[in-house]
Amino acid sequence: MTKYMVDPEYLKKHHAAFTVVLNSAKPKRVALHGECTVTKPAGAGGPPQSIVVPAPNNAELEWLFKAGHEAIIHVQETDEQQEINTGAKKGGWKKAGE
Amino acid sequence: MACTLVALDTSTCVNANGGAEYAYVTDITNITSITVTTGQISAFTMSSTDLWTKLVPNKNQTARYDQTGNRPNEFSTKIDYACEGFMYFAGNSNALKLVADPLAACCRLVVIWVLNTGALVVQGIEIDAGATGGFTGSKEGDCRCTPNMLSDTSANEARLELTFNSRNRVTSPYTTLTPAAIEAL
Repeated sequence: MTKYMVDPEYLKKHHAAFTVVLNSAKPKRVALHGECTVTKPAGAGGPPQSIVVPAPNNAELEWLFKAGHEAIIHVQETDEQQEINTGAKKGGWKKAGE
Repeated sequence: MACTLVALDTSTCVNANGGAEYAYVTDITNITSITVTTGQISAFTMSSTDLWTKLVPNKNQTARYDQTGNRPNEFSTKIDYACEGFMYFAGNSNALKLVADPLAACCRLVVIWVLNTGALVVQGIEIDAGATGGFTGSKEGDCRCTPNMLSDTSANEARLELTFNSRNRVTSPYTTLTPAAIEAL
């Protein structure tokens, strides 16, 4: 089974990364580094407010990968399991556009 | 550089209304990476949310974004593009000062101009697959904003004028993102 994930190397360089997914009628903001809460400062729109930005689900990761986002990799689940078991990066990883 | 030319036939009608309608501005350090699809920016990834500031100028046919090619002389192989955007806001008040001063303070801006043709063109960035994040700032001159806060005379209109200047090696990239997608970032 093909699974998509955010490249850990990308997250080492960018501790917070937000983008939009355009696979539905309304653009959806996602946090590539994982679900988080963002506080919008007070402004003309009203008082400060906290908003939760979700992490992308697998379908959204797949969309980002197919759109060519450099942070998304896809990995065969067996390889991922190998990595969990051994701690070593195995073959089968592929970056967008490769 | 290889010269692979692209044909152009203007026998079909196109939307050629001049000028710009409005723009989104951010500091270049807010952008962590871009995604490029067939030469256009198809996505921005940002370091936080709500980092694009929308500027809607007066609709008086003055807003524009121009890229003028320059060679040191007509035989030179060097070329760059002087990029200049302009917006006009009627009034003269502290509210306009609060817009102008932070723009003037930013050393490396990125501006997405929503043109009256419907195209969205990005000032202050050049696509560079070899660079971190897939982009650099304008290669010959960073994008900066110079505000003019004018009372003018009683015969005229008080106004804030914003001029955005940068200098590129190639013409500015376009983005396929819609305004709704930019506002969702």
